[in-house]
Amino acid sequence: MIAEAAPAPPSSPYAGLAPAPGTGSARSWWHVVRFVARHGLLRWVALGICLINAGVLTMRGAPWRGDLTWLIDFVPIGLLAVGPVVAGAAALDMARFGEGARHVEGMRFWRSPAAAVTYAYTIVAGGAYVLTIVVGAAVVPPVHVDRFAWLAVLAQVLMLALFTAVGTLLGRAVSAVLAGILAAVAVLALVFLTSSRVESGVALLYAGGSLVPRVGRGFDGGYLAVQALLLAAMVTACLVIRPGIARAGRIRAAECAVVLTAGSLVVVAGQAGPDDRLARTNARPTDCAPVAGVTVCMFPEHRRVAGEVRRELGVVLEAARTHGYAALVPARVEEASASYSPGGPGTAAIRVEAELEGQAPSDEGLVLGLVEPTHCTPWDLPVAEAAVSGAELSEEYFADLDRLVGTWLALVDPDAVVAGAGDPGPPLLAPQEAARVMEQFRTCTYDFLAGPG
Amino acid sequence: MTGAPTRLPLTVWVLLRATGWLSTLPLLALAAAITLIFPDGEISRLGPFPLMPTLRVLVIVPVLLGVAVGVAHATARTPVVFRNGRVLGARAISYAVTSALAAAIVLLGTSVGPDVAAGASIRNLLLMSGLCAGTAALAGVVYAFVPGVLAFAAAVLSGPGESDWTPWALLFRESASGAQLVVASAVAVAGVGLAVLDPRSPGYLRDRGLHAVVGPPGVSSGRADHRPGVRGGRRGAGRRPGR
Repeated sequence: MIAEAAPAPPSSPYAGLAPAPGTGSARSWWHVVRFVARHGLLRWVALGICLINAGVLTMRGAPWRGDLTWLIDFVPIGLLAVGPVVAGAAALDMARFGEGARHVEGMRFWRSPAAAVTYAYTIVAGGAYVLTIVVGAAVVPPVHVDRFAWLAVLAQVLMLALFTAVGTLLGRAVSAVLAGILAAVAVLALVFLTSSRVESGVALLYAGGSLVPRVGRGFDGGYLAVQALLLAAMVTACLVIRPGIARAGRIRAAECAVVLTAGSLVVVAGQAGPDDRLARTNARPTDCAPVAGVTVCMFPEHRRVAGEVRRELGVVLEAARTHGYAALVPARVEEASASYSPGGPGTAAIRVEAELEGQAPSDEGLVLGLVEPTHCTPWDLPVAEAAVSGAELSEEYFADLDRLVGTWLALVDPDAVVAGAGDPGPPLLAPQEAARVMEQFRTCTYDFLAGPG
Repeated sequence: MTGAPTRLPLTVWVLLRATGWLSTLPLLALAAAITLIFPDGEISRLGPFPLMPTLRVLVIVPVLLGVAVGVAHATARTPVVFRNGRVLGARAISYAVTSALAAAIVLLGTSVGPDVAAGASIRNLLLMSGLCAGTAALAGVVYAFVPGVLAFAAAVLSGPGESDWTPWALLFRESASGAQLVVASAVAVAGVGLAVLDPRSPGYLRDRGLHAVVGPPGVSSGRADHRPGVRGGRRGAGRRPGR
């Protein structure tokens, strides 16, 4: 179609999908992309993608700023809206451009009108999509670039290509009046069925869509490579399906084989492929500074909120020290992540999440992070093992945790109501008692588990 | 065209067929099938996103029905040849029949689905019918689906809230307030009324199927192709497809 097709009938307004006479391959590609962009809905789709992604990126106070991995996983929240828009527009363009270009559909599929529309949408709509990510990254330049970030973005662009290919398939199969809505419904169904994370395997359209920080996790190259291959196979399958076009029997058989192979690959990879899109990096926080005599280390990705967190943390630590509870104050505080739970003698953790959405650091959140011993064994027990052993955290543990947190918060603000309206809250611990519980928590010598049964 | 074709008897069925009404059938059938298969279906998550509260399937089926109303008169915008009360009546019949069938499917859903708030379904049907029909009248029938897609996307991304006027509340909330119903009715009247008057489409080119509606040829000798996206007739040259 791109370089070899016979020109469309001169009367057809879509003669632009036929090649420019005497042009080479590269110019023909550019010619086709430019034609679809100029005469189709592609410009509006690109604008729509920019607007949708801009809306998504400003959700919840744009918490992804500074974390490129999270940014790449945050943008796909909008795929639910982008997908039907891309598919509907591509279907409509295909249905309209297909008029007068039907005679070239029988040639090699990668030169068919559907392929031309798919190329154009992938380049322009994909470009707009990538542009929003680049702009997002420029807002707060990331301190760390995952080595597979490009593969994650490529997989998302291929998802747009798949939406387009589904649209062109329906645009060839039904009239222009129905093509748009049916393509949008088909893509919604596809997203509904295949964009959730599966336990063991690759989900075709799972692109993250995460509202929780990604610090401590990185992209898994194997998962993303398999996902990209599956998406490319599905795009190919959509393009080779050409209803109503007469072709040689062996070509038809080969095309059926392509479709069956692509479908089988998706099913098999969904059952037996790599099962985790993100890998644990076990990265340690490296942005360290002294706060009230305590070394506080945070992840550099969260540098933009580090100042206010450290300021509030200083208030919490000073309150304990000035009221005679110096034993509660650790020598070092480190920020926890999805793959790193700091702890041990003299070390405590803090968690930074709501602060990234623009909320002020809460004393309760900071104190809970400092006290809760998530580095100890019970939190590392695999779920299956815990179920077999009947292990679960004891009532006494939760009572001591409540008392310790309540005591520390009362030191920070004696008027604060910790346990809720009308509830006097847990009785405060004396300094020695608080120090004993704290020490047991930090050294993991506390008897956390309730007995079986 | 040569020779005077035989004038077909004007029945509602002939009229509907001649004006592209059959395009609504797949959408109406899909909506009816979903209504009957998932009368108590709930969508608890869309892809990786949990929906809180869950989304009733019967509440969003009217989006499809609204698009069906939008494409009820699926004849391409064509040059001025003929315009009279019969043409306007033909359009009105197309939208009336489709709206009646869509309302019947919504009522079917309220009768087979347990605890379904009929108000929400009716609100969505009115709202989407008006938006889709209005879009079809102003931009072209092939764009009738765009409000449906955009409204759904906006509702998903906006999320639940207290206000009655967020996209989520207007499309996904399981109960409809009186004010919402009034606004949705106004949108439906405006959109469908606009589509019936169809101010941007002054008339039809005469073609075989349309003789029953506009009478035998005599004014125009241009051959028309009423498929959306295909230029029809001499005076249509240069107009954008689907307009």
